[in-house]
Amino acid sequence: MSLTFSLAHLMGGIILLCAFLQLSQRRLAAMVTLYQLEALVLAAAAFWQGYAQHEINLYLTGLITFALKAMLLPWGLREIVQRFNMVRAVETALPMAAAMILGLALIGIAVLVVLPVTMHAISLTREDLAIALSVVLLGLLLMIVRRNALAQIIGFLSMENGLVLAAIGMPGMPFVAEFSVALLVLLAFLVVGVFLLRIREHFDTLDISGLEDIERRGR
Amino acid sequence: MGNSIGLMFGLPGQGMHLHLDALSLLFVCILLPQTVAAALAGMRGSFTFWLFVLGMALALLAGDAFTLIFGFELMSAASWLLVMQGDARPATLYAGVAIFSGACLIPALFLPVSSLAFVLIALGAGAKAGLAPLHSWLPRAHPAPPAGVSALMSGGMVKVALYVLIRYAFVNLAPAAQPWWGVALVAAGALSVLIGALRAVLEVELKTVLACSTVEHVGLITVGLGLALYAKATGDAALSGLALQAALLCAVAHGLFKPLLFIGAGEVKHATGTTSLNWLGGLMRGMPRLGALMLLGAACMAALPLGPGFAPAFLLFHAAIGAAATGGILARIGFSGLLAVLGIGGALALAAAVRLIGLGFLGRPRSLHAAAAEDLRRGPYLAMALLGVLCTPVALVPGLILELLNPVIMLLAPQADAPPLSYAPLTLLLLAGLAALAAGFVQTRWGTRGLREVAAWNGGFGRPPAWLPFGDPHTQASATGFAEPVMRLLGKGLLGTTLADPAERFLLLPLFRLQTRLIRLAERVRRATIRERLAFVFAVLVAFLLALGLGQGG
Amino acid sequence: MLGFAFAFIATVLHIVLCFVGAPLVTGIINKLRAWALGRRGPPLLQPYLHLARLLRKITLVPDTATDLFTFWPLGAFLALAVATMLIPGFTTGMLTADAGDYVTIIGLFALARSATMLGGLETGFGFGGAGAAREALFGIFAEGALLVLLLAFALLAQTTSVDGIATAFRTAHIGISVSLGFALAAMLAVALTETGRIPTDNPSGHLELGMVHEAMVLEYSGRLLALLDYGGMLRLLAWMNLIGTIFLPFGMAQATEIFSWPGGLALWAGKLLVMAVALSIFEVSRAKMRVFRVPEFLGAALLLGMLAGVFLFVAARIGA
Repeated sequence: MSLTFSLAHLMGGIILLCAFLQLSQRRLAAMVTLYQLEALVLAAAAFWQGYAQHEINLYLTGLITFALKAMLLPWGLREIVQRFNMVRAVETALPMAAAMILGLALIGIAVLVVLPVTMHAISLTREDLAIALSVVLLGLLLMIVRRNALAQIIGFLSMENGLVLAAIGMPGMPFVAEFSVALLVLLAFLVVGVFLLRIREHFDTLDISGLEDIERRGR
Repeated sequence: MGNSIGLMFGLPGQGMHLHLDALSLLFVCILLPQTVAAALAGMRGSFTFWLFVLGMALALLAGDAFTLIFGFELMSAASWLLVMQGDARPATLYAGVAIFSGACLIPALFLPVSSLAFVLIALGAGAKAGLAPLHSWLPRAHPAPPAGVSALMSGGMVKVALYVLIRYAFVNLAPAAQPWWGVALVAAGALSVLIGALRAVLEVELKTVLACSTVEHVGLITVGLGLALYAKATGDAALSGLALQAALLCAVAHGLFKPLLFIGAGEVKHATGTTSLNWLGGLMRGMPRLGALMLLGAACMAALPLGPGFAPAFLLFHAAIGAAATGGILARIGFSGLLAVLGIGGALALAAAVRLIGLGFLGRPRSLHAAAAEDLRRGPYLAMALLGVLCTPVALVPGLILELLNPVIMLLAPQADAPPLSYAPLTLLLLAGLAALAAGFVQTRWGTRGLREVAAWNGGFGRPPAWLPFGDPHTQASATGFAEPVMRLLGKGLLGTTLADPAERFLLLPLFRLQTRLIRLAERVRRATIRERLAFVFAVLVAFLLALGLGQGG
Repeated sequence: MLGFAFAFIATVLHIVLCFVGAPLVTGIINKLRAWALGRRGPPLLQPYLHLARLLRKITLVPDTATDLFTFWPLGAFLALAVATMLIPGFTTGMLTADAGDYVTIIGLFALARSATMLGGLETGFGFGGAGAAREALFGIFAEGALLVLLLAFALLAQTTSVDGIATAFRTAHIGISVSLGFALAAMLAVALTETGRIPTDNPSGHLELGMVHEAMVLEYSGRLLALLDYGGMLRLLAWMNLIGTIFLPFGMAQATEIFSWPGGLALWAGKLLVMAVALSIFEVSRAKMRVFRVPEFLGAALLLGMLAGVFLFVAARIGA
């Protein structure tokens, strides 16, 4: 196995590991950190693939990934965590162990699906595809098993990372950069939207008039 | 070794046939020492007991199906009587299981060689052996009779049921063997391992703990058998040899240490009047001989290295790895899961053994009876010592025992070819001896000799008041308390908060409900008016005509 | 014949170095930990002095303990000593290689663990019981994870002896594999738990309610405590050796070739140092987790071990 393959596999593995470990975290801060690590490795993977495939596009993807996903988004997410005081553990809809076992099963399914479909593809693609599909499924699972909106966003972002991973692994995918930018814009809208939603929710619940109402009734 | 003898009595015109081959001989050899031990432990005067032994011997030596069934049912009936003498409540459940297993076995023996016959045999023998999900009677019924009988039921009767399974799955039904037979056995065995080991950690009664551990060991043996069956059907010589070695060696070891532990539990009952771990403690002080023998037995139960339980576990792990290495992705995932289950089950068994010794025999007494216990009586002592001595060769020279098992393996899977055992207890013992020598040297050269007895430090807590001679029993971990972390993380998830066996929830309760529903239905039918009955007959007639018409139209 | 003699000398050298050096490794880690916290730290040789002091003291036996009180430390120590002898350090091909099956080593660690647990239950007081119960809980997941990991190693190396795994990983070109990455993460989690390091237990902890290992040995003193402490040092070194042998087998010497020894020895020291640095930095940067979070931690390790096995399957078909 050449170095190209080995390193690409290793980075894919780390990304999958991060996605899997996100399932096992209760705290948002830890999940954000894992997401940041995931994005960093993804950026490195994009650079490496760009070097290996001699594609300028991929360098661009890596740069965008690094600047936005590994730096800007985690910073924003941390701000939200701080602002809304969600430092403590968030609620889970499923027990941790069940979520992790489900995650393992999903990875198994991803491998099962990818193996026969890509019987004739080259090895690099196969393993990368299996990893990418697993990351996507794990992100979806994360969105399902967490009640917190922010955790769901992280799940979505992680899922998107899986898609980008699949895209950069394919030789001859010319629109990776554009694709990822488009997705990012979408994501930014989503994040801002949920952000605003949360603010409104908080103002609703913190409304003073409600308190006054109760006070008056008490007399 | 293919000796057959016909007996004078039996079915008219056919007689009964006894047949001795390597497989029967092995199981007779497993049965023999525990029978001697149980007789020594105080059962030799009981006629029912000898009937029970006779039934087992007949089943093992049977040369025809009738003799097999006759011996098997004699064994069931006699053990039912013995269970009834101890405790009438589980006896009914036990009788029900015995009837179920008979009802599965009898037709299976006369069916042509087919998968259906295998399923029936597995159900019948599995129910009798306490294989999950048909195991929930075992932790209730096995502790009920006197210790000698419990010993023989756990060590011997379960083996007879497994013998029937082996005899049919590997020999008589061999031409129709399918890989899924093995997979089914592996799944049932893995389930038994998990549930048996988990309940062994959680139960409080000493004898129930031992019975749950029997469920676990039956599971281990069955996993081995299942792997061997799978490997035999897929033509993997090394794997089938390895798995058979594991299963048979596990049967041998379990047949030695489980009776030992049960007889010891009986002595605990005799000396203290209870077997609840919450009322024992500190027995090592009053009963040092019993304590030492129980420690040996518990070390075997936990499959620790240098004990007889380790070599089978070692072989089984290797067999599971071998199975995971071959086959497709589903087999890979499944067998990795099996490995995880085996590892978790092994550690749970270790926790159960530590709990048994640590809470029952170490620490402070939790009741005056436990404090005043006196050591073993002569008969049970001899019985336990016999079994303990027989454990030694299995523990220290497992390679030799495996050589002796070779004819059986050749009989069961002629093409099997296991690699040599890479576990060398004697080497380990030698290295441990060297380390002990070095430690002794350092101690004599630089150390200070002597021990001084003082009050326990206990994190600075004061001495207990004078009216509590052993301190407050509530300040030491209870059996329930020791199991609490496991209960919290595994028990609740798998068994629910009430600790009811899932098998009871999913098998017995629905049966019970079905019965109630059937009774209600019968009552309704009985009370129906003439009009309703006529309507029923009419509806059936119309349905029949409709079916006929449709059938002809098609 | 000459090969046998060299192998014998290498084995003896390994055993002597491990047994003499185990306290030094602990001393180095303690020193590095202190440095990372901005303290000066104890002298490097402090563990030796600690052991010598314990040896000279009179051994106290609580009056509630049974006669087996002195037996458990010895049992734990012997099991760990044998495990240390079996796990290769600077060289492969030692005389103990054939007996050093991975499963045997897991079993020896379990034996040491159960002896310590029984020692904790021996005096019959709350702390020892609580510590033993927790240790039992941790052991359940740790053992499952270790066995699942063996699958990945056995599939890659076609053997289950630790020596064979090291030889295969060093000579055959395995490359950087995703599976091994997962396996390393899982192995590290188990190792931290088994050696009682920080995310699961605090080696320098003296708060009874939070302790696991310390709670079990609370009643021991004098030479028995020396045995237990020394056993703990051996266990730490044995785990470092195990991880070093399996995951960093490069540069290990051959027992039969004497000229490869110096390089092997130097690299071994280097690897141990690197692991010590990593461990101490990790320890000071993490907080201890709640007792009931540890099974989740180990459960994740177990599942990672299974992932390693599954991904091996993906890679195996590649033919690389």
